[in-house]
Amino acid sequence: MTARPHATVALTGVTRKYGSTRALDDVTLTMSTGVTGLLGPNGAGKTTLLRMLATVLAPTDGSLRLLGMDPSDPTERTDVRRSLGYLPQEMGFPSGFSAFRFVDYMAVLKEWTDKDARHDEVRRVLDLVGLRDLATKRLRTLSGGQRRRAALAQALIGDPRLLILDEPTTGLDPEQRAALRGVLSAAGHDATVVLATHQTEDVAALCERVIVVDGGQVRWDGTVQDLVATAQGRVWLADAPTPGAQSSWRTGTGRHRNVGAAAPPGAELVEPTVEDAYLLLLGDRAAAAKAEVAA
Amino acid sequence: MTTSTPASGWHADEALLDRYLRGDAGAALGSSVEAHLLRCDSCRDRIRPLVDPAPLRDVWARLEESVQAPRPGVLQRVARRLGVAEHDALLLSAAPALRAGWVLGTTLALAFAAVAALGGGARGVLLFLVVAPLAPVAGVAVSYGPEVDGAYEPTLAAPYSSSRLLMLRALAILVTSMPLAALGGLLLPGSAWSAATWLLPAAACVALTLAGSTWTSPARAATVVAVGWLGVIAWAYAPDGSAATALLTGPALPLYVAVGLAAALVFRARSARLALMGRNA
Repeated sequence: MTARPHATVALTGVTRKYGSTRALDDVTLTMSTGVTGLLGPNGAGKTTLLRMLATVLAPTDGSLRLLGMDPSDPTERTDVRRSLGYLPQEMGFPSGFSAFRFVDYMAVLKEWTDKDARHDEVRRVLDLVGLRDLATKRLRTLSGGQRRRAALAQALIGDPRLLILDEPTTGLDPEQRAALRGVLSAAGHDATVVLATHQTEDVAALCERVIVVDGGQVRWDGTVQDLVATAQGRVWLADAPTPGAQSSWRTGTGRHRNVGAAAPPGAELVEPTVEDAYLLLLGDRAAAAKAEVAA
Repeated sequence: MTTSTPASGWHADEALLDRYLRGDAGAALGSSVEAHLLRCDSCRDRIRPLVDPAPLRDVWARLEESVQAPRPGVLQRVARRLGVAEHDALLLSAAPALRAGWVLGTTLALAFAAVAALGGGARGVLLFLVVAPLAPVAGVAVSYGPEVDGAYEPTLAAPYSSSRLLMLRALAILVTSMPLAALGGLLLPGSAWSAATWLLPAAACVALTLAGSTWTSPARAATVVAVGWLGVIAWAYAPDGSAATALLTGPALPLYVAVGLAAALVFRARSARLALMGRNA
């Protein structure tokens, strides 16, 4: 795949090794404005990829361009960082800080040195994540979801052109997640938003494009609709688990939802979801790998 | 605020509202109009277009600022008084080593070491030898890096220079701990060395820690430096307490200067590596 002219993110043959382990292995892809979802099992390489997009980790091999700049050059890396918002998977906070003070602190690191303008921006991003009324509360007294929103607020400072979010909805209740989707979809109008998540419903609701990573490689890259289409005819309801189905579980209606290679004749087919398609994709990959080993 | 209309059916007329807005209604009448406005939707609707919202917004913004903007901590205020910019003082306040608890702990450790040196003979002096240079090194260890800063990754991803942030904090740590070490040195019994000589091994150790931080985290670099300094003391130790004299006088002093300068040059040459996790810039 070659970089499109309007691509804001372009990876070419990017590899990242930790010792002998390849966390990312020869990844080539481009991204542009809009919301892209990154799916994959734990240890697939999502966080490594996001750290590279956030300029905090360099590739071992290959080239990376962000917003038209080369992050391996210190000056250009700083320029990328001026247009970047990053929410890592795990985040702590300085002891004793309130939500306001923490976001204020991060705004200073993002070169907001004028106090009045900075405080206005802090209030704006706290408002976006619904924390303005809790701004003075110490972070340690807030719930996990509220702390996650404070962490997200710092990523939104300055309306970044590149927004990298590692599991942003972790710990959020459904209402908060819905509100967050509104914020991220609005950001996706003008910015490149990349979010890694295990919540396939967030991908379905928010992302124009989905990339599935497994074993350090890109296994799927396309629209959400195209991913879901790969599961057409492979999800069905039955009164009992179907032998040979890849996944099967009893639903609230008492019937069993089966996901597998092919529905048996006469099965009651149902519309697949992103989760079904994702499970099938990973299952197919695992089966292919097993077959390779057996051969 | 209520949304009812007063039972009396009375409303403020235009002339009265105008006087109230201009501040000409007088204290008693003005208070009555204000009390009425709090209860009357109709009069509030009529007065709303007559009021310039800009001053109200300013008042509200100032109110919000005074409530939400955190009051600077003690060290932040001291840093401001010493001429540190407001935003730099805020960056200092996030470092564990520059919080009141740590500074107090360092002070107590140095005071304890000084007291031990005063009354503990050669062993007491030895303890002070260990503690004084390593107190600022420990401070640097807990001022920056993945082990001590939960926001380390987004801090790296921000445009603010990581090396500047580390140096800013290291400098603040030197300012808070070195005078205490020098004061302790002055209290030592029968010493021929000046308190200022303590600054040299401490500064050299801090410079080595900063240089080491371009390879690994400050915490790990500080551990290596601490082990090295302990090794130096063990090598120079003598039961009669002459180790302190040997380490703080004569040829040792230019050596600290040389080591400190070399470490500073290494830090400068490699400081770009602080901008990345894994230091592989």
